[in-house]
Order: sequence, then C-alpha cells, then structure tokens
Amino acid sequence: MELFAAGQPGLFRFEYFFALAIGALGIYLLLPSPRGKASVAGSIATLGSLGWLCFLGLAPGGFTIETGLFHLFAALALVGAVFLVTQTNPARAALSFVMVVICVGGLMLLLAAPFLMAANMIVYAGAIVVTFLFVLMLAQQDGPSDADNRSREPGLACFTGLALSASLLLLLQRDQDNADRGLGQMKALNAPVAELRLKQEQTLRREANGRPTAPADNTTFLGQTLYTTLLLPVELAGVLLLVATAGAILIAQRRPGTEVTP
Amino acid sequence: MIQIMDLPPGLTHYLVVGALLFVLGLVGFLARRNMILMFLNAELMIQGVALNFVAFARHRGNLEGQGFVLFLLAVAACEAAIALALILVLYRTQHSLDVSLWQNLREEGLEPILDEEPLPLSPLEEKSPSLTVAGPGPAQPEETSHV
Repeated sequence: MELFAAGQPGLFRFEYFFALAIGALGIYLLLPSPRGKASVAGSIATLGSLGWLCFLGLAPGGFTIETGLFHLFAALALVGAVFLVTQTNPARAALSFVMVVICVGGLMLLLAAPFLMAANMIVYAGAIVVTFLFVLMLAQQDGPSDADNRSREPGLACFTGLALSASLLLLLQRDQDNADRGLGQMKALNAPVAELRLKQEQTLRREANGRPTAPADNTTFLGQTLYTTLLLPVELAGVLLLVATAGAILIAQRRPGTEVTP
Repeated sequence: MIQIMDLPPGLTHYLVVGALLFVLGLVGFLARRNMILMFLNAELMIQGVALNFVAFARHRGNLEGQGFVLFLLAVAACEAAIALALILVLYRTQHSLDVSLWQNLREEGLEPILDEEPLPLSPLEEKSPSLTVAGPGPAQPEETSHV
C-alpha cells in the first residue's frame, strides 16, 4: 500500500497540507528572534504536525515491525532537523545534525543499503561534523550575537518551505494516482514514461511479496557497479577531490594586507 | 496491474521523508545567519537527496542509485572543505560569522537591512575569585651577572 492510497484519487488531500502548515507555523515560532522565541507553543505545533504526518503515514497499512522502525527513524530524523534549524547554540545544532545522519542511516538500512549506512555515518558524523565543530571553536563568540540570536526573514522562509513541501507532496501524490490508474491509462497520458516503466517492470526480478530483489551481498555488488558502469564518474570524483583540496589550501592562505584588526 | 512494493513503507514514504528533510534544510539555509549553520543546513538538504537516491535504488532493484550516493558523499566532502576555507577567510576579515555583515554585496538599488530590535542582554558572567593584595611584596635580591 502506498502513502496516498487512502483518499480519493485526483483530489489533493488537504490533511497533508494542514499538517505541513502547522509545522511551518511551529518552526516560525521556534526560529531565534531578539524578542525570545515562543518555545512551548512552537514545540507543541511542530510535534503535533509531525505526529499527524506519522498517523497519516501509518493509516494505509497495518502495523508491522518495518513500519514501526520506519516511523521511528523518520520522526527522529525530522526532529533532529528541526533542532538543527532552530537551535541558537551552533555546537548543539551540529550535534543534532549527527542525530539526523544516524537516523538517515537507519532508514538506509531499511532500504537494504548497509554499506552506505556505514559510509554515510563515517563521512558525515565522523569527518564533516568534526571539521565544522573545529571551525566553530576557532571562531567562537561569547554571549548572544547577531549571527545566532537573529533570523533573516523567518516568516518568508517558512512560507517558502511550506509552498515547496506542499507542491512536492502534490507532485508525489499525482504520480501515485497515475500509477494507481494503471499503465494503460498512463500510456495515453505520457507515452515515453509508460514505456520505460513497462520495460523496467518486465526485467525486474521480484520476491514473493512483490518487492524487487536486492543483491544479497551489498558491498560486493556496489563495488562491481562502481568499477564497471560507473567507472568514469569514479575517476571524475577523484579529480574533484583533488581540485577541492588545492582550492581549499589556496583560499585559506593568509595574504598580507587583507586582514583588519577589530 | 503490478503492485509495486506491497508493504506499508513504500517508495512514497521515503520520498516524503527525503522531501521534508530537504525543505527543512532550505528553511534553515534561508533563515539562519550563522555561516556555519547555513552550510550545515546545506548538508541536511544533501541528506534528503541521498535518501531519495537510495529509495529509488531499492525500488528499481539495482545499485546505481547507491553508487550515486557515494559520489554525493565525495561532493559533500569537497563542499565542506571549500566552505570552511571560505568561512575562515570571511571570519578573519570581519571577526564575526554573521552573513548580514556582507550585505554590501547586495543588488544595486536595494536598501540595506538594519537590525532595529536590541539583542537580549547576556547573562552576567560569574567572576572568578581573586585575592586582594596584602601589602608591598618582599624585596628580592637584584639579579647580577658575572661574566
């Protein structure tokens, strides 16, 4: 069962829009402002919207262990993301980003990608966040500052987020409705896509429950894919890393005459 | 009709989570003023995109999507290196992480945005205890050198 299957096809499900709107209001209240943020009201609104979305996601099917784990990881990842957006203390925000990375790792594990889970955690939580924290220590400020205690146009930013998320959900729902109508009707609407989908579905091997089979040995097959079909991008990624290293060294170099004493 | 993914967390569930992570990163990038937090929010958007790639790889039963997430990791590492070098240079020039200090780079004809509301007062810092000086110090013999 898919996410939007519970409602009438062809109509926008307004409950998703209302849940998103409440979430946007909550984030608006939680964003730092010199008047002080409305923490209690904002947290209640954000958590309520998240709970509503989880309820809507749980509604189409029954409760299984996979559903439970999916909703746990997804909700924790979104809570971590909200913390990252609204924290005034940058070090705490970096740590909540680590929480997001760990929960996305859990979701990747549910999607049969154990190697990526490990790589994602090592690179993000282990390398990138530590580097960010290191720069944070170099550029430390004491007390409230313009950078941390003010937001730039919080209302407009939240409205943009609401508009983008509502249109993305609408698009996903349309796609779902088209898939529900079956390939025949889709062919009339959008011939090339329907042909591609038909071809893909004929070549796919499926498990008993209709899910496509994933290769059992993820790391081996990933390595094989990297060095056969994706060989050129691998080489290009190496060149990109080299150029970025050289660029970072060049940019961060101290040059005489450019510094201003406070 | 072939039913793709029978069980509840289907492709759309993961796509919605990825989209919401992306949108939260966008809101943070637009609204926050600390440069380091802005770049962390960009990384959050990349996480949402990576989740989409992995979900589609599972949906189509091949590993090319997962391979692309590895390239995404490489690009994110490059971005972090360049961004941190830039932040260091900007911090050395202005001694603050606030991006609004750079608004003289804005479009021609736009008014600068001024912060009118005062910041909340910082909580009083506790001073570390110090002893009062009790009197003149004892006389020390002057250092002499015999060379």
